[in-house]
Amino acid sequence: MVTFAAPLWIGGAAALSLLVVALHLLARRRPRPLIYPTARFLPDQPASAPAAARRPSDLLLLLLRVAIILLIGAAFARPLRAPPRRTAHLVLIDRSRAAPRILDDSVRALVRQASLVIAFDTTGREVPEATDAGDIIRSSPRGSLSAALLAAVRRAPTLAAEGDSLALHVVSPFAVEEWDEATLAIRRLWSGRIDLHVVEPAAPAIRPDGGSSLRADDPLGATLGLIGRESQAGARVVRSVPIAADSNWATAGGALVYWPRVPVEAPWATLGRDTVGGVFSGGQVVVAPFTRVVRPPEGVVIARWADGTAAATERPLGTGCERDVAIPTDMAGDVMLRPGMLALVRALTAPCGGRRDFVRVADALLDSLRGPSMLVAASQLARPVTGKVPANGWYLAAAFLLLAGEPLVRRGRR
Amino acid sequence: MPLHPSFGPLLDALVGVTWPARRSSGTGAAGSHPSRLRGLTAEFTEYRPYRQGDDARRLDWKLLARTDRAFLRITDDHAIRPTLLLLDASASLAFPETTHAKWIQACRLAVGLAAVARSDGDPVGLIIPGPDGVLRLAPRAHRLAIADIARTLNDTSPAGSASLVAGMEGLRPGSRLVIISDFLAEEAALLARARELIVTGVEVFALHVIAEEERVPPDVTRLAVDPESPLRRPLHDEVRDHYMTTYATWRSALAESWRRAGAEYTEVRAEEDAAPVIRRLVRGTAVVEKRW
Repeated sequence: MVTFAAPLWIGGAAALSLLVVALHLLARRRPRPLIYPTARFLPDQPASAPAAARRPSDLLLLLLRVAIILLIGAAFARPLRAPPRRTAHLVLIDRSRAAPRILDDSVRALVRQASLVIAFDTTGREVPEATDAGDIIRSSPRGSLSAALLAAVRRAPTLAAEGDSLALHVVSPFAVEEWDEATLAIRRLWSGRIDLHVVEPAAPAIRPDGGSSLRADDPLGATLGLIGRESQAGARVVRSVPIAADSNWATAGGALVYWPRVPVEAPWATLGRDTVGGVFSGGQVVVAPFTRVVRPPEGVVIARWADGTAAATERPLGTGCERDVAIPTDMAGDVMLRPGMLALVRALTAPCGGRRDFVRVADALLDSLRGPSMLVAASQLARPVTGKVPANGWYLAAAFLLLAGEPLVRRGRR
Repeated sequence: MPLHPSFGPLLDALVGVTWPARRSSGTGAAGSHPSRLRGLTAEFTEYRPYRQGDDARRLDWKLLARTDRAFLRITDDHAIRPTLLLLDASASLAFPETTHAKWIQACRLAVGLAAVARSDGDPVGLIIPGPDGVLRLAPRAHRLAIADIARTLNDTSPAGSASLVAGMEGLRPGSRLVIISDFLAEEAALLARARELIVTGVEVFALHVIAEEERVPPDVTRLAVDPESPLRRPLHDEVRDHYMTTYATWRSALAESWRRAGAEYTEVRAEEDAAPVIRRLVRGTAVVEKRW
């Protein structure tokens, strides 16, 4: 069913069409010629005169003109396809590391009937149509319910034409690590109900034992000893260039931390020797006169010097990762034993992707997430600025096509 | 080539009709029309006393011998009257478009008058001015002259516009000129030239052919188009009375001017039978002038 965003144009075009019809019937007509030798005895009058036609003539020309006007009016009236009387379904499906690899049939059925499916981890991405729920590849990043809800709020207006109301479904284990302080605030942007489909979280990853073996006189060994073995579980700290066994271990999911005893001995780009006043990572700051001599290889920066340059980087390696740390450890004094340094080392030896917490959030939070019982009406959604434009372009094209043919028809009628 | 089928009954209807001259002829060739010349024929009329300057050969010598008085023997002379038919073949004669009634009537009048004139022994010729020049059939009294005229008319279609005045050149005094036209073009020039010819002794007949549709315009709304000019004017109910009045006034003025010039003007409807028209025309032309 087609409706119009500016129906006044249709009314105007209809009125103009009536005027054209009236003018067509009352138009100045040039009568048919008649050879008449004594024409000079007729009074000198204009060869055409306004006259009301008893029967409309040139019907094709009249229809052509009326069609041109109506098409132009329809084009400016911005025709829209009215939304059908049904509920559109928007499904947010969790693909983060907390989500299970296998989804049950109810989730698959939900995905099949959905108008739009958005798979989310740290961001939400639209899933192409006709994609089965089982084909949505799980990713390793941590999930974010806030990002998922934002994606739903942004994409919902595009579904306004799909139905008169919109249902939002979230399929997720709702793990603690996916929840942040903005989640409820973002949820309030969605004025209707959210159907939560709680699935079992993924099984915790088997974290291989790092087996870091440092010499007794190694200052880093003392630091690791202070932060405890549990905190560094899943990480292997090596002080020399990693060997194949280390890489294989990291590929299996471990966090391989290459932290050379003397950074300058690492096969990295060297810098001019200088001193920086501190290093920070993950909110932990250590202030000390560090001597910077090398630059870690390219990767995701996980620690920075005080001037913002990279002090440690991380690169994915299989299902695990490799970290290269260019922070010297042969510091004078108790720098390596300070609480800040302990926290820094704890962050640098954390599992790849950060620490995991797949425990479901509290039921009270889930109730807050569900919200009211009403669905969102499509009329409450803002019209999409972009997207499929109504057919006014076609109307205009048809109007111009007829307009081009009008002189030909008019000439042929003479 | 056979005559036009419609000419046969017309010619049959005109058998025995004569066309006497309106005035005495000045030509010398022997014919059936009275001549102003008093000649040497044996048809005695009267005596007239001799006056100085008279031809002595015409004296009645026997009477002079008997009575000693000089009298001239007066006899009547007769002459031919070459008849030229000047036919308007302009586009306006091709009216109405479907029947060309005006042109057909003009052709009938021409053939009928030619036949009547030739039956009097007068040579008959045809002049048809056209866009490409003037077609002339010289006056002939031969028996095939009528057939030639009919054939020429059959081969002619009214079209374009041409000057009738150009066809009025080279006429000799004593001849007869019949103008068959609708007189819708160059009225003044035509009348002026006709007046000159009349003064020189040419008998001029003006046959004005009009169609019924011209006299009473059709009851439709049309754009009237003059076939010989770019003139276009609307024809509808509101102008019909004005047209009929104007056209009738013009015809009256035309007839008056031609008659005043000394021509024999006759208005002929395109739809009427040509034979009665011709009879009426020739009957009204008798010699009226005094002989001397």
